[in-house]
Amino acid sequence: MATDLDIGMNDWMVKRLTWDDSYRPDHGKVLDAAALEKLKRFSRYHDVDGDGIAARTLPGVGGKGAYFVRGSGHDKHAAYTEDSDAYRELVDRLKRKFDHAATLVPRPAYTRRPNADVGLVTLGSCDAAVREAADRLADQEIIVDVMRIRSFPFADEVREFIEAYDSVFVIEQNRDGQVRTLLTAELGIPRDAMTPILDYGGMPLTARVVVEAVTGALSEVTA
Amino acid sequence: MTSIVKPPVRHPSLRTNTLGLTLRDYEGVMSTLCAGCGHDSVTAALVQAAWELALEPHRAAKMSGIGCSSKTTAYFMKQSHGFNSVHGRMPSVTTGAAAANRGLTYIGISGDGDSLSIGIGQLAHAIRRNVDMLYVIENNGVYGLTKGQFSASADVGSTSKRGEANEMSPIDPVLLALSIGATFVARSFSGDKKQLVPILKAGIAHKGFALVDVISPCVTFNDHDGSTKSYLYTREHEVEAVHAHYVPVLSEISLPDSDDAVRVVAMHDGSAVRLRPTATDYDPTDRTSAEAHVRACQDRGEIATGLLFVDEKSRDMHELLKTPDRPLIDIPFEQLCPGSAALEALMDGHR
Amino acid sequence: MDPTDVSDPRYYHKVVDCQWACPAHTNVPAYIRLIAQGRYTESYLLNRQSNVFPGILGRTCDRPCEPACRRGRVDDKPVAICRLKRVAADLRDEIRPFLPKAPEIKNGKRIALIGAGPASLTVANDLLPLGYEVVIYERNREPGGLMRINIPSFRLPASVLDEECGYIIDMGYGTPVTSLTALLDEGYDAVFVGSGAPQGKDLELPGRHDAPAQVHLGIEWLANVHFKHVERIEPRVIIIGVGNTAMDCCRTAKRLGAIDVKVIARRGRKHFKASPWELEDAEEERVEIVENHAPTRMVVENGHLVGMEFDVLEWTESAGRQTSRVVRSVVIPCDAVILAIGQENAFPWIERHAGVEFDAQGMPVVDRVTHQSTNPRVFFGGDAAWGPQNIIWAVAHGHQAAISIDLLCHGRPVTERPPEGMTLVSVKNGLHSWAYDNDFDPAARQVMRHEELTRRFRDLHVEVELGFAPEQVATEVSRCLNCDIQTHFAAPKCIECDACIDVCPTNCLTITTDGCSETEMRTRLSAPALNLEQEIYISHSLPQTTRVMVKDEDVCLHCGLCAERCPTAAWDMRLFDLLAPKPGAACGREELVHA
Ligand SMILES: Cc1cc2nc3c(=O)[nH]c(=O)nc-3n(C[C@H](O)[C@H](O)[C@H](O)COP(=O)(O)OP(=O)(O)OC[C@H]3O[C@@H](n4cnc5c(N)ncnc54)[C@H](O)[C@@H]3O)c2cc1C
Ligand SMILES: Cc1ncc(C[n+]2csc(CCOP(=O)(O)OP(=O)(O)O)c2C)c(N)n1
Ligand code: SF4
Ligand code: SF4
Ligand code: SF4
Ligand SMILES: [Mg+2]
Repeated sequence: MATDLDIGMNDWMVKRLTWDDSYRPDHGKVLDAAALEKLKRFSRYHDVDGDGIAARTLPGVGGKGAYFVRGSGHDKHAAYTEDSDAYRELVDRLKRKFDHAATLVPRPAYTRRPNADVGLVTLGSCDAAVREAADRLADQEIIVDVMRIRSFPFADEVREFIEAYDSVFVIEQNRDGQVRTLLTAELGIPRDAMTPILDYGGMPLTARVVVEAVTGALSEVTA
Repeated sequence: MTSIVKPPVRHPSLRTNTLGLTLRDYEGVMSTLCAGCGHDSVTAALVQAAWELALEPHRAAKMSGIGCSSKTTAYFMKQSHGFNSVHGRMPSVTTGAAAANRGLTYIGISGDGDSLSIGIGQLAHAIRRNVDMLYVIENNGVYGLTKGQFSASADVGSTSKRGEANEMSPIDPVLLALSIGATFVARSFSGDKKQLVPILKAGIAHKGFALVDVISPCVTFNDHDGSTKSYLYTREHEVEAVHAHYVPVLSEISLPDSDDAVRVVAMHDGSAVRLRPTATDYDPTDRTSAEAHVRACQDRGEIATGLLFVDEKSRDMHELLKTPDRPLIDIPFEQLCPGSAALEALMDGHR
Repeated sequence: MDPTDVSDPRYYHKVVDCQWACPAHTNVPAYIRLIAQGRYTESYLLNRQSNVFPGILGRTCDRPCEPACRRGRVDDKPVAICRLKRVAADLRDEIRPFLPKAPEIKNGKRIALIGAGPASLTVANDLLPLGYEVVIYERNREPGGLMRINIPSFRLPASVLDEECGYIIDMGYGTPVTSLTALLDEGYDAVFVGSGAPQGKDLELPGRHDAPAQVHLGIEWLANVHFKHVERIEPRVIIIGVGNTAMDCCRTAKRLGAIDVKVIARRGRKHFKASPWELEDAEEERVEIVENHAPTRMVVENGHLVGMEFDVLEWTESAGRQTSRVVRSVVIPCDAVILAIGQENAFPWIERHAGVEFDAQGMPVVDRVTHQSTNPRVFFGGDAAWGPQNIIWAVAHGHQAAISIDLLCHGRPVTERPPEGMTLVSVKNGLHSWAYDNDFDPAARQVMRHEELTRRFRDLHVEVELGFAPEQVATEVSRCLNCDIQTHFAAPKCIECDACIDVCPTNCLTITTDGCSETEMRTRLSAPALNLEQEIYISHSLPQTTRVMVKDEDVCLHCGLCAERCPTAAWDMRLFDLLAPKPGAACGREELVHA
């Protein structure tokens, strides 16, 4: 991102942060020594319950928990393999894990106004500028909804949001429209159903860029 | 790749160590390296060393990068955690692991390519931090895995299999390590387990970063006539500068040594190494002396081997960074997390 | 040290433990591989070359090969070598077309064989194809010797005997020899005495002859059962002795109506002569085995045997010598006693002037190698030579005697034994691919299936062992380590990379400095070579360091991993085939000497 300098060289105000002292981290499926003892054999990449997530162990915990993390082809026991079926089984598990992850990751943040027929899709540091642009467009009686994607893989709401509007703009700060490409690739939404608004001049995105791009595009349609 | 796995049969007189394990319990899976590769002998030496030290397999972590050499971690101690990281990144991954869990024994295996080209920056900083680990470079002068290109350790004049000579000056990991403050520096030869095994044991016992450069011939790409890292060349040019003898418990050698030339270095864990330099003016506990000696050997066209330098009094990463004395996994969350009060104080500090 | 000379066939032969231990040097691993490939007929024929009676031996052999088998040293129990032999015999096709034929035109030499036991039959088997005219004298109507009349048919069916004896002879006879000199006068060029040890040993005790109808000599009684002279026995039977004969007697008695059968031994179990599996089989049939009882008297009341009296002994061992003490004496009631305490030789038909010398014990003086007696034309083999042994030894004797007879008939000294030969061929098919299955199968030894107890006793002839089921065969053959596939080393090729040393699962290999004594070198190997009966191999000196490669043959698995991991093929796996000397092979080209 070209905004590094802007972020790095200036002081930024944030809201006061809070910390919930009752919070305890959930490490997920981690087998302790006792659980390992009960197993005949620990298989690092074996999906027992179908959610695609295999239990892991922490180094040094139990003799049975050891496994080898490797880049070369391996089977569900983390053992080297050249067997296609064993390898395919693992890659299919990763797909299940990925799909399952989409249901657990943070949901997108979005507005739903009854009379909006334009959707603005954005993410990350573009958000503030896009929301400001939405207010300015409302001044011009263009009612838009804004969705900030907060995670990948995309949650179902991402698709629902995009499919709900006649006009959808994807606002991102790069030359190639990477987020739009991902939306097409992952959700199968036709490229042309989403109009890119790309800003890559090295400065933080401003609401003006968004407002001009949206009004310009809409007037083209009406013209 | 061999056609079968090693039969689970043991020699009837195979002994067990204090954990009741046999040598074979320290083996890993069958090697897929070329037959005759020096790396497999290093594996065998590691198996021997770990068995003799009676390392608890599940309390060791085997770390490596990418290369034929880095595959070694799969071939010993199958009951230990192993991590085959990205090319040249093993020093950093191990630094992280060691930071989180200081209770484990870290055994890092790398190659001359992995350590001296892409990973040289990582290696240098792990040495500076004095991460408590054994760091073995299986040095064959080539990138074996990618089919035998010269590596940064190739000597000037050494030829490739096709006959072209290397003209760039080599990086000697031993001199590199000595010059940036390594606290344990050794060189050995895969074809000499008598020398290698005690060095590996001492390296594991050492508290801090133990660099062991092992000449480990690549039979496929660098074992020909013009090679300076072949079995024959190494045998003809190797000069053992310091003979190391590893003594498991200090008390066994508390008797004064009659021989002045022998230096006994007490290791942090109660064991000791006895070092016998072959030259009288060489002190393997003195960095300047060691560096001078290795350089002088190099000038004579000799390969200095042995436990060349050891400094057991230095501070390792945890001491330098004043980290807690326990692995993070053993520290309760309440203690690990400073909580909302600390956050408040931090934010107030920024007002 | 002098490097090992592997060009001497004895070196590699000794590595094939089973073949080395087999008196007839049966090529066990090769026949097991043939079974593994389903080539039963070939397997049978290969067996037959050395042991002549695969079907018989596959059921009854004393199996000296099994205690020697390498598998027993590395993994608990030996390969079931013997019962695999039976598999080949059971599943073979018609083999007659493949047997050597006696030529129409004879070589003019006439040989007499006395007795049609395994020893004589082997001599006939070896000499007939060479053109000898062979005449067998046998007092029984059917051939087979003790195998026929003493080994019970529930262990060895008559059909198997008929077939395998039939491959050698097809004649009706029944001529006892009553005079050796008369026979020699008939102009035979050589006479082979294979008359066995046909007499059961008696036990002279008070009361021994007071109730003769109830006291039997083991081998006679078994013969009488065979000839159907005996078809019943009383309910309570005592067997004296714990050898093979005792085992057959007790089990036969069970089949002839006995209910309570006790086998009584003077000493403890570990001193028994019977093989462990025979004891197991007997106990499975509820025969009681009583240890440490020495017989003192037969208790006869009114001319009727009612029991036997024994001293109960307690044995103590000191300085390797066993001494006994009588604790008390007991009477064990019984209705019949079978004495099975051994066999004796008897040669009433050999006249003192026949030129055959006898020693003080009444045994003929016979050369251990040539089997020749002091009468150069008379040879002895089998139980007749040095007392009772077993079938496979009788076969081995037969082969050696046939060589001697062949030499004699060619006018050559019988001491000029033809040498053993060998072939040694690489089994490398390609990179890490061998012409044998080198993967180790950790399976346990298969247990023989037995006929149900109730069914066994219905008829004397019901065979107890059912043979291995097909899955058992598949498993058992894969347990063989292929010891005949030898690790062959070429020192000049070795670059001392240690790959072979590192990979060897049983630490057989060492590269070390040369030493001056084998005893000393044995101690500094990767794992000390403690079994002195097994050779260590010492190579020529290695090119780079002048050290030597040493191999302890003791627990080598013949897995071939040393050869797979060797970058220079300094180690190779080579198939060793022993070329055992045979009559005809060494002397065949000589003109026959006509007397
Ligand atoms: C009860 C019993 C069970 C046995 N079980 C086994 C076993 O399971 N496995 C095993 O390997 N061994 C066994 N043996 C031993 C084995 O049977 C003998 O060692 C073997 O048969 C000896 O063979 P042979 O050729 O020397 O003589 P034999 O088999 O004894 O044959 C000698 C032949 O010579 C004939 N003969 C003798 N004198 C004359 C004569 N004057 N004229 C003509 N013919 C004559 C006899 O009738 C007989 O047929 C057993 C022995 C006994 C007694
Ligand atoms: C980031 C990255 N760059 C390059 C490679 C290609 N590569 C794989 S192994 C290797 C060199 C290995 O040489 P060395 O560490 O000496 O190991 P050897 O095979 O000789 O034992 C290279 C360049 C890679 N895997 N990853
Ligand atoms: S290419 Fe070279 S370094 Fe790699 S396995 Fe083969 S011999 Fe060893
Ligand atoms: S393993 Fe096979 S070849 Fe070796 S001794 Fe046993 S039966 Fe014979
Ligand atoms: S593997 Fe081959 S070259 Fe290497 S030490 Fe063994 S015999 Fe020699
Ligand atoms: Mg390399």
